[in-house]
Amino acid sequence: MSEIEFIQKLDAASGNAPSIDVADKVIRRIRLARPGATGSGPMWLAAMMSALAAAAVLLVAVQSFSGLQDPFGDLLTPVWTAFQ
Amino acid sequence: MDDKADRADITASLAGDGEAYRRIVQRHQSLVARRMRRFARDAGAVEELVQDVFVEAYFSLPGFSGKAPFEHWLNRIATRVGYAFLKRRQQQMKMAGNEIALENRIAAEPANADEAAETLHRVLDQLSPRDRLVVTLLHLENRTVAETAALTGWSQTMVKVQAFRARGKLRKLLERTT
Repeated sequence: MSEIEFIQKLDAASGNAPSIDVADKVIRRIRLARPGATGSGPMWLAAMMSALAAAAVLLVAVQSFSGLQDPFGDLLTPVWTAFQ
Repeated sequence: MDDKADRADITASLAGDGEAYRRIVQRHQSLVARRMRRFARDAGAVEELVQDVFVEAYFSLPGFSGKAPFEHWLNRIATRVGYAFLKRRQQQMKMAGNEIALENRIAAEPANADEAAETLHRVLDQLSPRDRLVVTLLHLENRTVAETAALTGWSQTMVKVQAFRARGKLRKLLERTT
């Protein structure tokens, strides 16, 4: 028997792979690696929402600060009023 | 394998639909597991490798051109993951100083499937990762030289040379032990 026949024989004798289900684990690993992936809508939407949230926080922070020191005068007042 | 369903689920996955990617995994996991079982013996390691293949595939999905069936593309990733595992494993064994030596004699007629798998892995463990990869693809998965070249990224000449060397090593090894 040749070396190739020998390993082919062993391979054939080693039976079938037991069935596995890794789908949940794969999805979990993907979500851990990239939060927002494979779940709630397109990734660009998640990125846009988080950018908008960051901009809103910044705006509120600037407005609060300007209330104390008035660095921008009335520049942000219309925006601030619109938010309220 | 249903390539039309794959393509629809790939489009949905790229749009962020996790359920679509779950369906892709469920359709292909048995096939990938069967392949990964030739790279690793331990059931836990096989499962880990199958997961690695699908996680890597997910993050590479934007690069899937769709020219070839999804299964072919997935096979290339599985080959890469399996080969990386072999290299990592060999390095770990060298560092730990516990390279597995083949016993003086190996059973030509294993008693059961488990013993056959154990013996096969013990024999293949003696080969370098490149030799083992080429033997696995050409002789255990019965792929052609062209297919093996496509899966490994090597030239067809390189595949033939590597396979010739690997068979020689395997022959010497088995002459000593059977």
